[in-house]
Amino acid sequence: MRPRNVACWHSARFAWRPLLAVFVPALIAGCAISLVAPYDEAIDKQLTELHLRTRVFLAKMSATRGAHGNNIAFYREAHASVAVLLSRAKLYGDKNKGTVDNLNRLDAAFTDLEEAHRAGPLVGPAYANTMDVHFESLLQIELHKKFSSGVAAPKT
Amino acid sequence: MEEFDVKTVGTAAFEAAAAALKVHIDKAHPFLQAEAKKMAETGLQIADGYTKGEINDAQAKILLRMQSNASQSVLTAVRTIGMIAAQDAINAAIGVVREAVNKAVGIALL
Repeated sequence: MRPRNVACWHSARFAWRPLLAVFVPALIAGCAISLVAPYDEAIDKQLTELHLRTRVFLAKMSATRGAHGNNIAFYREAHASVAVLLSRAKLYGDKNKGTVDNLNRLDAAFTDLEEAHRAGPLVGPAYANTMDVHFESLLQIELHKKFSSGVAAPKT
Repeated sequence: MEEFDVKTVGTAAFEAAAAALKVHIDKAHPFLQAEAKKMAETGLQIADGYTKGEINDAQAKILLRMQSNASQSVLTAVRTIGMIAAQDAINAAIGVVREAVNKAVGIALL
């Protein structure tokens, strides 16, 4: 006599077959899940451009001890760039929450940077390194979205 | 209809999910390590700048606030990467099951 658990397993192996044709298509067809927004090349490029502009600005400020009053345009443009990035990132809704949250933090970082500039010249590497963390966190998310979508990373 | 071996398909689905996870983990690990190191270095630069008189009291306080904000960005990035990894792992497993089902029924059902 077949042991009870084997009999159950045996019948289970065949019982699933009719169910397969009915339920599995409903379960699996079109059910590739999406928890996070897809990779967005425009966000990737615009972030990289803003990162470059920020780095160049901070290198110039550190070398020249430039006053805040003579460089207000940089902050205005930086906030405008982040606003454009936020508009685009928000198009994907809640699935882009990580990117949206970090763009809001980047905007706050530019506000803090301007406040520090009002308090005195921006000398030394600490400002650039702190801003780098924001950009790298945002770019890292885009990089993983890119891997996720199966797009090969650019060759450098 | 071809045989559908639950154990084999389950193992293959698990392996596909684990491989998908590993891609993200392997890339997130050096990022987290580099950012932690950079935060420590920046802390030293703030102290050094303050000692040299390049950074004043107000700027030191703002920089510390900026550091705190930046560390939250890193945590958000890691959490988002985790979600992307989970998404890829689940989809990889679904892909294996889909392929096995199609093979078992003999047509591209799914």
